[in-house]
Amino acid sequence: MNLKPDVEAVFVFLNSRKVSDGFRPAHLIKENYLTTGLHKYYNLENRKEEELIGTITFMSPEKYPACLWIGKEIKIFDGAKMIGYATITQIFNTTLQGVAE
Amino acid sequence: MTVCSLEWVYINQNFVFWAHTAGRETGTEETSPFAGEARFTSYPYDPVTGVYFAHARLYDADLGRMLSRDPVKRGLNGYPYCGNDPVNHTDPTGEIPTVLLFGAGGGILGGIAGFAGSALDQLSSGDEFSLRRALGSAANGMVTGAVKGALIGSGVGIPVAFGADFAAGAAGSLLEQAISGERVNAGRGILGGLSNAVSGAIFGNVPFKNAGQAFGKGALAGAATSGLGYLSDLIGRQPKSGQMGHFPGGTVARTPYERLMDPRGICILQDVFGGGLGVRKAYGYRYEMRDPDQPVRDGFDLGDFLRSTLTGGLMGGLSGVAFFGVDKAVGALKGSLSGGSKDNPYKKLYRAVSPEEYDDVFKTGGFRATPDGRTLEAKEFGNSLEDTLNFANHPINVDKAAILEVTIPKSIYNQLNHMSLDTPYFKSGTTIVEPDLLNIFNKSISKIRHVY
Repeated sequence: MNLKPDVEAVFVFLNSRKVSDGFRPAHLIKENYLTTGLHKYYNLENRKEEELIGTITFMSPEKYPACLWIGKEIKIFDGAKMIGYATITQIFNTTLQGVAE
Repeated sequence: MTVCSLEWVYINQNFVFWAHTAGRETGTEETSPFAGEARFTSYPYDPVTGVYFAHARLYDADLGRMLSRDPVKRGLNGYPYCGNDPVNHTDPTGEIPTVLLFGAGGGILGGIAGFAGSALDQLSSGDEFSLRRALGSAANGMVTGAVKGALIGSGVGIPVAFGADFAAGAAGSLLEQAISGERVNAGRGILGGLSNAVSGAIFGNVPFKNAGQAFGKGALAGAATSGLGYLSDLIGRQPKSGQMGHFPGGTVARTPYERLMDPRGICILQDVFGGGLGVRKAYGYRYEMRDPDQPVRDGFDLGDFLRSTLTGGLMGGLSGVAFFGVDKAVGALKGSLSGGSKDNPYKKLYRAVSPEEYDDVFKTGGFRATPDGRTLEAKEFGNSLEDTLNFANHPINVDKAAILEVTIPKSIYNQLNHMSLDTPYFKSGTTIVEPDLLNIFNKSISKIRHVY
């Protein structure tokens, strides 16, 4: 396994939630499937409004192939509470590349 | 976006029930996507019939009702779920709520302990044994024990428990006075309530971890109760014959509680502890109304005080151990009712932690929601060590340095969130402790140990 990021995304966190590199929330990668992903942010220092840009490395992308596409929104959870969402802007891991629904 | 009450969701890990009726508008929060899969109180959901299998019977989430009577409960209405109070209670087996079982067990034990404590106190002080007095203490113990048991079974917070213990203590004290033939004294009742509330706070409402802790907490609570009870007895005591100092004029005598008393039977000042019981009694010559069988305390005596406190401590310790036994017995009873006669009342959970969290856990004795931007506020636990080890070994979890094993009562475990997360790793499932349940979770921890 490697730690190459799987996707690049624009993050929006609700309620001005404080985040930093290494944050590992759960992501609703597809219907009824939550998986942990490691976040790295490009613009943490120059954060504009609520939006952050960065990457996500998922725990087991081979288990949910072809489920992402550019522009897809993934909800982000801390326990049962939705804390934000990520909009996919690039897909580095081709296993995850799917067709928009 | 319309979602159900988050508070309700956190407490009961249920994202379907009552979401239908308790909706509210919000643009900032949303509940888990696992609405269709989440199982309330661990009940398996039958998508065909749309009801939940509650072991002893079926539960309909839309109706908020069981579909048959509780096979254990014998009341007017056996159909509601947890007596229509699902926020404070759960019913994992579809039978009588834990709060009632604990309440009944506490009442019986409290009655026995009260009787035995009174008998021991009387015999050790050299007084003649008074059955009425012992029965009064038994009634007091039964009331306070039943409430204490119910409080432990319900897991309510300290403020509610303090109030309930106070009310039970006051009621128990008044009942004891009435049964033992004493004149009912409201002041003593209030002190009884206060001492019970104080001892209740010492005793706590969380199930005991082991018999030693049960004895220690029980002894401390019992000693506090007896010590305060001794002092309250002093306040409400009656003067003994011949102990009143006659005034030179020969018309009044001074009682130990500073009321001027006319030997004909009328006090000149109202009894400060006789309020609410009528003017005649309040001004009455109470000594003559006293049951001659009732021993009285003639003033503070250190030896007497210590003996009473030690006796209370001993009985409290033994009661604590007995309560510990009831806790085990209730677990076994519920286990046998649900088909698992040897059901372990505890559940082990596993969490991969960083060195910082490891230190913090052993420093504080629990888990904290640290808003550092890296850590989730909800705490995720694996249900098996092997799963958690696999999870921790993933490269994105490179900072995880150890795995902690946490043992908690199943009654608490059943109230936590069991959502599916990283299923390729957590094959046995995960348990999520939401931030608002961390305090209760931490208090319920029976044991934490470093296992990897």
